[in-house]
Formats: sequence, structure tokens, C-alpha cells
Amino acid sequence: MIETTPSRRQAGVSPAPRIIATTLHVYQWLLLICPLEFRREYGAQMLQVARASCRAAYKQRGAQGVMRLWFSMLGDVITGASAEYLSTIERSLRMNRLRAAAITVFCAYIAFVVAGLGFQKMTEGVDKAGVMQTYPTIGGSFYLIEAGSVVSLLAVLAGGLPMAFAALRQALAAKRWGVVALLFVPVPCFAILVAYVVLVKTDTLPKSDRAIQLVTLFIALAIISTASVAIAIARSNLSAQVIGFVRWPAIITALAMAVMCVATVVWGVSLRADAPQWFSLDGGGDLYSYRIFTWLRVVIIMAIATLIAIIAAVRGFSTRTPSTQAP
Amino acid sequence: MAHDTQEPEALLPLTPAVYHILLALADGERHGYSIMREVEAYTGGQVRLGPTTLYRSIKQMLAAGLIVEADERPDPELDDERRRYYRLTTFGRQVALAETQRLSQLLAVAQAKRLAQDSSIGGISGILPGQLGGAR
Repeated sequence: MIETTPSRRQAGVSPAPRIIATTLHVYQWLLLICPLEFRREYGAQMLQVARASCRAAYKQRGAQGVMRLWFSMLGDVITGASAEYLSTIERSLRMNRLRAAAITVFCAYIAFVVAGLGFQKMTEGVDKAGVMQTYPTIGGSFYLIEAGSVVSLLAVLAGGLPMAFAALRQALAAKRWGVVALLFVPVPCFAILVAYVVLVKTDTLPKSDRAIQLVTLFIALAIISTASVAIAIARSNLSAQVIGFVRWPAIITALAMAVMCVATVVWGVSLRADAPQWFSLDGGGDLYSYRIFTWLRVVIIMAIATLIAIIAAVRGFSTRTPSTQAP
Repeated sequence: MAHDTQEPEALLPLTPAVYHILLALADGERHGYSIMREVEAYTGGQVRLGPTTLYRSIKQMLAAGLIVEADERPDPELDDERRRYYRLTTFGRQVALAETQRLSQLLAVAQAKRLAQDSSIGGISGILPGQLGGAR
């Protein structure tokens, strides 16, 4: 029940007639059908207004006047509570849609980055041989990819960090240790990767298939880290402001991914046309030497990730945040 | 806040309850019951905002940045209970103006089609109860 200050009696005002007291008692019970959050915020004020209305009605028409209020109050609470429940459900659906869009763009971006790292590795030899400097289309598209990677990383950090910090702060306050643990999963994953690289450098591990092991481990850790953070965000009840803000970084990330994807295609096609010796099939059996296959794999993963990110970002962008809704 | 970059027209049309609350707060800050009485007074008792409708609208208007909570203090005319006061923001005033303009245009159309009297008080009262009444 809603508590209000029993100040009338303390102030020496005569106690309310029985009809008013009964009406308010019934009204208090009636308010229980309103959503809890709404009742907590406005229940006491609604009771104040109901009390003042009852007094005014009693003053004008006596007990009959108060009883006439019953019908309007009943109708008001029922329609108001139903509308409030509907808007709560609608708000929740909209928030879920925005959150799903943000998580999808983030997952697509990580998939894009994994493919991008493979691409970066395959360009090392080409870069060392000075092909990028000789052919402007190849060099230009490569620099476009580098610029896109910086823009997209900044956008992901701008959108992702506030969400992650908000989720962490909320999880710590609510002592939801499971969510806290999920948010910190990337830390041990990164440590495992660093440990593997150190073991490779110190020749502790056998030399066979190191590259494949490293790529497999990196992809597995990236999937685990991304999934953990995505689940943690999905389980957090973030504010409309935090989730609403992420729409712009999501759109920027998706656009940067699209630019990088096109630039990667241009890079490969130009390399095939201008310096085909660097795009040959006979690389000597090394994982990165079959450039055409690597490039194709990279382009396919990038294209799929970009498409998913664009669809998610547009869906998120077209969803209005609850605070920008017309009242 | 979202309303910093939002056009007032983006929030139109307003619900009758929201428009009534904006009108009631146009003269200065008021608490919930005072808003209710003001609306009842200027509509000649035709419109009565119920407490749930009133506070649902206030909640939405606070979220949209149309109004802000002024402070909490007793109303000397009622009793010594502390009441939350609300007042219009600049954005809220812009939205109220935009909605009034929209309604004026509607009224002009209605007048042109001989569905309302000339733009006298009688003419306005002839069309507005349909829009202003039933404030849910």
C-alpha cells in the first residue's frame, strides 16, 4: 500500500468523513493494479489528488458527490493502468530491439576484424616488396582500409564502452557476479593468446602447424570473448539514453565496414591486374601464400559481416528510443 | 537529452491530456491537483483529468522534456501536505505553441468548410471540445 504523510490530523484539521476515508481506502487497493514502477513513482501523488478531489466533491454535494467520483476513478485507474502496461511492454520491445541491434553490430564487427587480421597478414609480403607504393590503386585502397579500421574501432569504443561500463556498474550494484564475470571474460582470453605467442617465441611449443594453431586459438578466443560480452549486455537492463546513444556509433561502424569491404575487393582485383605474381596459387604450401583463396575467404567474411551490421544498424537507427517518443 | 536536438513538430499531435497540462502550466508552476482544477475550470467542467491519466501524462512529459519538476512544498490553499510542482520547459512551450498552431490551422479548415463559426470564442468552443474532451 502507498504511504502518505498523515499531516492533516497533525495540523489540527478535522478528520475526513467516513465516506472519504472509505473511498480513499478502496482507491489505494485499486492502485495496486497499476504497474509497480509507476505506482512507486506516482502512487502517493495520485492518492493526494484523489483525496483533494473527494474533499472538493464532498464540500459541493456531500456523500453523493463522493460516490459519483467512484465511477470516474474506477474507469481512470483501469484505463490508465492498461495503457501503462501496454506502454511498458512497447518500451521493453523497443529497448530489446535497440540492444539486439547494438550487439549484432558488435559481433559482426568482431567477425570483420578477425577476417581483417587475416587480410593484414597476407598483405605483409606485398607491402615489403613495395607494390603498394608502385601501384596507386593498390596503395590507395589499402590506406582506405587502414583509415576505415581506425574509424570503426573508435566508433565501437565510443558506443561499446559506455554500454559496458553501465552494464558493469549495474551488475556490481546489484551483485550480479555472473554478469561481472561475463564482462571480464576477454581479459583471460587475451592472456591465453599472449601466453601462446610467448611460448611460440621461446620455442617451447613444437614447430609444426603453429600458424594454424594460432589462427584457430585466436578465432576461438574472439568468439568466446564476443559471446560473453554480448550475453552480459543482453542480460543488463540498460537505460534508454545509453542504448539510444549507441545508434550513431553503430551506423558509423557499419558504414566504415562497408568502405573497408569495398576497398578490400578493389585491393585484390588491382593486385590481380597489376601484380599477378603476388596473387598466384603456388605459394609453397604456407597458409598465407595461397593469396587468392585467403583473399576470397576474407572478402566473403567481410561482406557477410558488413551486410549483417548494416541491416542491424539500420533497424536500430529506425527504432525510436522511448524518451524521443511523442507523449 | 533527446529534446535538445528534436523539433517541436516531431511530437505532434499531442494527446488531449498532454495539451491540457501544457495549457494549465502556461501561467506558471502547479502541482497535480492544481493542474486538474485549472483544466476543469477553463473547460467549464467538461474535461476532468483523472489522477492516473494526469500522472501518466506527467511521466511522459517529463521523459520528453516538456516539463520539469520545480520543487516539493505544501500548497497553502489546500493543506500542509507537501506536493510536487511542475513547470514548463522552453521546449515544452515551443511544443505547446506548435500544437496550438496545428489546431488553429484545423480550425481554419473547419471554418472554411462551414463546420465552425467565425474565429470567435463561440467558434473555438464549437470545435475544440471534440479535440479537448475525453482527455485520456
